[in-house]
Amino acid sequence: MKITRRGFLKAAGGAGLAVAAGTLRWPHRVAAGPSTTLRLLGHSAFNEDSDKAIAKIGNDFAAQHSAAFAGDFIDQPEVAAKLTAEEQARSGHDIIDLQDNLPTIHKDYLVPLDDVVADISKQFGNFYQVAKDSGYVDGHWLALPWIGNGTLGVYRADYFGQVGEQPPATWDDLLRAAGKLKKAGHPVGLPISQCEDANSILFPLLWSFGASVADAKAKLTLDSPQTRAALSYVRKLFSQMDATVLSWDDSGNNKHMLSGRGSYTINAPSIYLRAHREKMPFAPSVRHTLAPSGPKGRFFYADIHGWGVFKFSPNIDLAKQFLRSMFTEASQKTALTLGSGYDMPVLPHFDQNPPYAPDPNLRLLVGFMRNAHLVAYPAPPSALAEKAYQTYVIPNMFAKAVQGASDKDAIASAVTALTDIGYMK
Amino acid sequence: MVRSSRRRVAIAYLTAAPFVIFAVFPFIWMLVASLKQDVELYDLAQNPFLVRAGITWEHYHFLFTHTAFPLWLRNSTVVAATTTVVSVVLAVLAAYALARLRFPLAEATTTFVFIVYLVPTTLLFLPLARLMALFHLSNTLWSLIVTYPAFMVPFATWMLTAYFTTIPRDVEESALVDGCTRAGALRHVVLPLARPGIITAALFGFTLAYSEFIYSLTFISTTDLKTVTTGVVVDLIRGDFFYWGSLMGGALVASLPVVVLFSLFLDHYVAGLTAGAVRG
Amino acid sequence: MSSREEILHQRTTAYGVRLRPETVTAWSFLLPTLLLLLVLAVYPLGYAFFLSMTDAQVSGPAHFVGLQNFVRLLRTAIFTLTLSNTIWYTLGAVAAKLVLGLVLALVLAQRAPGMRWIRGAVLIPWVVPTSLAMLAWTWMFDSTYSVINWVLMHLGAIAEPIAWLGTPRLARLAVVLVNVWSGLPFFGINFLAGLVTIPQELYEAGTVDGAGPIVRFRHITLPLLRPVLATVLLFSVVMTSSDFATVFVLTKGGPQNTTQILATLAFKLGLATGDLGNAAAISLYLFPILAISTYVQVRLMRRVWQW
Repeated sequence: MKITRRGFLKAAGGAGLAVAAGTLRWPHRVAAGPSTTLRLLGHSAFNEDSDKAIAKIGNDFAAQHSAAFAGDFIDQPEVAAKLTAEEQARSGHDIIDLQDNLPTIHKDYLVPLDDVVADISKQFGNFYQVAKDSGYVDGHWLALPWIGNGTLGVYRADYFGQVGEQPPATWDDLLRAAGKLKKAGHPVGLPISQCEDANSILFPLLWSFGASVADAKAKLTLDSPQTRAALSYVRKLFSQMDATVLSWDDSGNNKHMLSGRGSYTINAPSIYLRAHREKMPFAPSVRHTLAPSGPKGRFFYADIHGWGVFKFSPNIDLAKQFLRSMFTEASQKTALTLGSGYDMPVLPHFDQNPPYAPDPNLRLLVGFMRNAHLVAYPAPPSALAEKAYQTYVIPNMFAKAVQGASDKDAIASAVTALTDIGYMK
Repeated sequence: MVRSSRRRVAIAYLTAAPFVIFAVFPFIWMLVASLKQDVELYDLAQNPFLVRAGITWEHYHFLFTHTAFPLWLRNSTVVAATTTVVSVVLAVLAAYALARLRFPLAEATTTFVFIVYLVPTTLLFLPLARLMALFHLSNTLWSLIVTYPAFMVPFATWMLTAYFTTIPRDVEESALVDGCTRAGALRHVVLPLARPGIITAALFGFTLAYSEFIYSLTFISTTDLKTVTTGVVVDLIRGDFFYWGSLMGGALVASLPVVVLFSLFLDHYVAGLTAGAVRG
Repeated sequence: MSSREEILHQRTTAYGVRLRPETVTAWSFLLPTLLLLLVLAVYPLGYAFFLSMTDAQVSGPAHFVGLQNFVRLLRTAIFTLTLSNTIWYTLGAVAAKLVLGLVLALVLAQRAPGMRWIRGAVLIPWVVPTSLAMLAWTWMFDSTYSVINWVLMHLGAIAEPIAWLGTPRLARLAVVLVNVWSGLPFFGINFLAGLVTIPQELYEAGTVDGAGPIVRFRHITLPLLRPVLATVLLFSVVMTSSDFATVFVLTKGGPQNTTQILATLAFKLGLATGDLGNAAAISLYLFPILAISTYVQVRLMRRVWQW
């Protein structure tokens, strides 16, 4: 044992020193290489080819400008945290992924991109309103909208057929089918938990019942008969679902469907795309339909991803040039093809006949962004809305209600959480 | 006599079994999940304990060829090893002074070191991010090498101070009487005697550094520079799809270096703790 | 012995009080450590205190607001919930680790062939990185693929999958269970180390006096273990109350923030929504817990080491 240990130490020590010496060169402030590196921070998209599209556009651009391109793609919930850390450090990436409320939260550190947006608009027209809502802050474009993600109803045509139901068009349709599907052993499932999917499903559900967190001036409007109607609907629906929906993370509804157990959920196209890509036996039965409509109509929820440039970036001009290069016919084609419908255009110009349109299950997405809203709707994006989103006030309100709290208590606890964050009554 | 000793052994095994199963089960679980084909892994009808459709190495293959996993592993090992060496050297000096030398403010200094030792890393990551930028170390492995000793040194000092007090003064004092300097006495007399304590502190420190999560999460942005803890957790989770096979494989492989290290030094470790524990 | 003391004493006083070589040596040994801690711990801690007394957001000007953040936080529902979660989480996990750790130490102290390997195996959860081990637990508690649910359903104990991480009580239990899993070995091995040092003669004497195993445990083992017990407990209180990785990976604070603890809430508010002032204040609420622990620990060590 002793010899082994000593031998091990010697060998490990030798190898370790060599590796360490290679890894740990003290950072030189003057880069050794001839070229500058354009560094981009993105979220690792649910659809992995989305990253590849950005990397491809980046590398093509870098090759033309004798620069290097480095894209880092990290889990979405960590992006916002990373931005704050880099701002504290005043160093990090040049170009950063800003979702929904983030341009306004990080406005002090962002270079105005009005010139870039003006050039792009001159050529291709104006952005969708929902994209402008996110990127245009206090009279300046602080983020260049890039793509939008939306959600659809995902259902199993075979299971719905077996119980004699059509894909649900309204929440009431869904509830009726849910009872039968539960008996058939294939329950529907919507997350009612602290995850992004729950936010992206329950906010538009509220809107479709005529309820909202706050009005256009960010004054609280949650305590309303419409919210109570939404609560009592979700209570009924929950009784027809697996109780595990209370514990789902963002992968919960994917697993629900891809395990073959579930019959319906609302999600980005990632479930549909994955079932087909992996040629799962039931893939032909996985279909899309628009998310259900409620008494006040059908509401689309969108996440808008835009690109910002940090003021402390050493490569601001190059970064802006790169952003311009992202809005050419070729770049958009690359992005929308690899985006497979998961990523949708934010400029109507590119939304007329996107590459995924031939697929009938994805054609539903054409024009989606025209009527889509951000989470803050009907108020403009803000730090308050982001806090409400990040602390899952709305999913938690529904979770309380389905676990026995009265409408009054569930709403009261949500209102308390919202006023604690800073919302005004 | 034989019977009773057999009974004793049987009781020992029986009582140890639940603890061993509790401790090891998650790792067996990682192993099983990492060797299953996706089709079987995600099939609810299958028995989760068995690998029926045949073992696959595709998750490991994916991990080593399609991700920066090998780099993460290297980064973690390099950072943990470097910071361990630095921290133990600093801690030996400090602990010796605190345990053996009489000087003004000794008590206040000891208290200070212990207070720092109790300040959790979760409190300091934001200011430290700023500091790292000031030193131009943001997003380099150096940011970790510089900051990790801040929690490793106080803790190693605490452990070693306890250990040094168990070493009889006489031996060292004879050396001093014979004309040795303090540094000489420390090097030639105290250090050899303190070996189990130092090994324990080093192992402990290596583990802390290797497991560190929050600094690595906030200071490092580039995928290639991540440590294995944040690389696996942050980079291998893709939105609403977790690559469970690869995640489990990655977690398992990443755990191996520390497990190997500990199995090599287990006896020393327990011996080191034993001596320190009486006083600790 | 006394003559040696004299020689030593003479050597040290010969240089006069001001520049005793021992003092010089001591400070030169301590200097690197103290410098390091001043820059990397004291300065950031001071900065955290400063931030906590401002209304700093990521963007926009910051104003000094005194203790307002601390006071206001106490009136918000999410913070009071988080604070009580942290306290219960710490108490629950530390108590469980204490009791089970004693049992584990007694188990590991038995003599049997291969006990060395058993000790090694039991130590593994503590050695491997928490954030990685949490992934295995996440998978074991998974809403669809939970192996625990699979076993229970096949035993007929439950008809429908249980939402382990979706039901407040179960999620809290799960978080504590997992913390116990990773922290128990530390308790067990340290207690074992303490047990080994208790002289066997004491037990023999106890047996002669007619003391049964329980009496021997209460009157010999426990009192002699007390210093180890105290240190391990305090260490664990600090580590558990400031835990981050367990909750961050396993539940992200859910369901309904019932497993949210100070470190994760501070991370979420400070980094994800840019509310720097409040985030600093939240993490500084750990300080009372730490201050008390430190005080007790320092006093205890002073008594044990007789400085």
